[in-house]
Amino acid sequence: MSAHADLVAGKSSPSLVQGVPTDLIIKGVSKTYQVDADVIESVRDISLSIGQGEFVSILGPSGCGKSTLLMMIAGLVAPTAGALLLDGNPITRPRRQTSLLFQTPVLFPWRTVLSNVLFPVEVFKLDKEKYLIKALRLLKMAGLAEFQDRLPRHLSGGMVQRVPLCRALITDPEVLLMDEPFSALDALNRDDMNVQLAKIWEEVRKTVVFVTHSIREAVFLSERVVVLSRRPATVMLDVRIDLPRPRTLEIQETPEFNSYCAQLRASLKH
Amino acid sequence: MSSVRQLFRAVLIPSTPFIGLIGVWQAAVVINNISPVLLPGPIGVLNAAIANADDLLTATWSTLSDILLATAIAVIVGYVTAITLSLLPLLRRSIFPYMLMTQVVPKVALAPLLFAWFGIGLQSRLLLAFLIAYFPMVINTLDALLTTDRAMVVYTRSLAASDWQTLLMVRLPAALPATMAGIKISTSLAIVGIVVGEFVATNNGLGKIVVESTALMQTSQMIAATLAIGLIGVVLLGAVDLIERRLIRWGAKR
Repeated sequence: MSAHADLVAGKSSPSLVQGVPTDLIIKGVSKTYQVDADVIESVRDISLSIGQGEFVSILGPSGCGKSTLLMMIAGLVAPTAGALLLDGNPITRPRRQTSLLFQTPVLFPWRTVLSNVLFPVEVFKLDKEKYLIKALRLLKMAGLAEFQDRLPRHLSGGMVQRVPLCRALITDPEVLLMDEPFSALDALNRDDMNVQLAKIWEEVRKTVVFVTHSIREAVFLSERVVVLSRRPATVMLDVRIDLPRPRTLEIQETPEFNSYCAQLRASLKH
Repeated sequence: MSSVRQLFRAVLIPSTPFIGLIGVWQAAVVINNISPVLLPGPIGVLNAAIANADDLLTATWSTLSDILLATAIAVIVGYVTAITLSLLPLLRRSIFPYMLMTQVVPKVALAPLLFAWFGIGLQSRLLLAFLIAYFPMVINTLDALLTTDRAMVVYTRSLAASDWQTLLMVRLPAALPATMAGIKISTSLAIVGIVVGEFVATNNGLGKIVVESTALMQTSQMIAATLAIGLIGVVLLGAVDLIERRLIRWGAKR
């Protein structure tokens, strides 16, 4: 708990509300890569404390190291310095409590939609029968109920993108890690996915770390937006987004929404 | 309507050039008055095949079962080798260059030596066919196992899956199209291996009929036996293709 207290006192996370149970702690994390003769500093001394059930967007310019940060939280990449803690335990390898979503759907083309959703259940060696009803419910929620037996290649781009979300939720993870999951979609599908994600989050209230370079997307979805600088990534701004829920597309027309966007845009210009 | 069209596509389209070729062949033989010892017409070949039906059938069966056995061994051992090498990078790096080298060595040239070492019998024929058919299976499968879509592997690792799970649930299914291609190459090469084996040690199968009837200038029978070998190839590769279509409904093929 002392680490938590340090972070609350530290200036790197000014917006942290005291009393919110902390789930995910990122403590002085840096990452440098060696590419041939060059040493690339990707992330420099980032400290963040993310509360349980918080929706946090990590906003930053392309290639700034925000994906690297996410991979470290997923336990797929080890930090060069600093530590990451989930529920007080250091993250040293991938864990079942976190679920990762990529820019591309990464579905298995030989599996049907339903079978793709059940993939984590098989990896975790859980009882498939038990999760079948849940899988069907998730697919229904995503509007994919009638496509459960189709192969991914028989789905449209917008539909394919919804399958990974069902797959990520099937085993009830504590933390969803999303790496620009909708960046490959056209504007209409993207709006649609954002509305659906907001709705789902309002229902399940999971911790979400959402990496994006879209300011409007970050403001629309999040409880809190963290702005990272150009490489090496450092925290430049940490803002709480106090917009009412449920969030609908109309909220994007309000002055509050646009003033958040202006604030974030200004900080990205530095 | 669709079943008529299917029949048309499955039977009529591939058989048209065959019928055409038979016609040209018969016409060329008759018009140029070619001696049947040099080149008999298709009717002469058919007559020879009917006259020696028993011998041909026995030989076909013998050759076919040898081919099936050789293919099965090459495919299974090749598959296991590929999986093993994909899991053991050190072993792979030490022996893979030599495996590639064996690809360019004409293994058929080893046939007389193999028979001198291991005697005239099934074991030598199988060994020859195995040597020819094994490496393409290994190389095709191994290459696919090592080039699995990175995102799929990273995603699976993010679920804390074991290496074993990643192999069984991701790498092997993703490699299936290349594996099937490897099986096809191995099947056709096993046919070559078995028949060449029968050429060298002429005591068995269609290869024996080809060599013997050539020596006796029974060209009709020689062609009949050669066509039987070709027919075995068509049937076996067709069977593999059928399995492939069953297993890989998700691939690029319709």
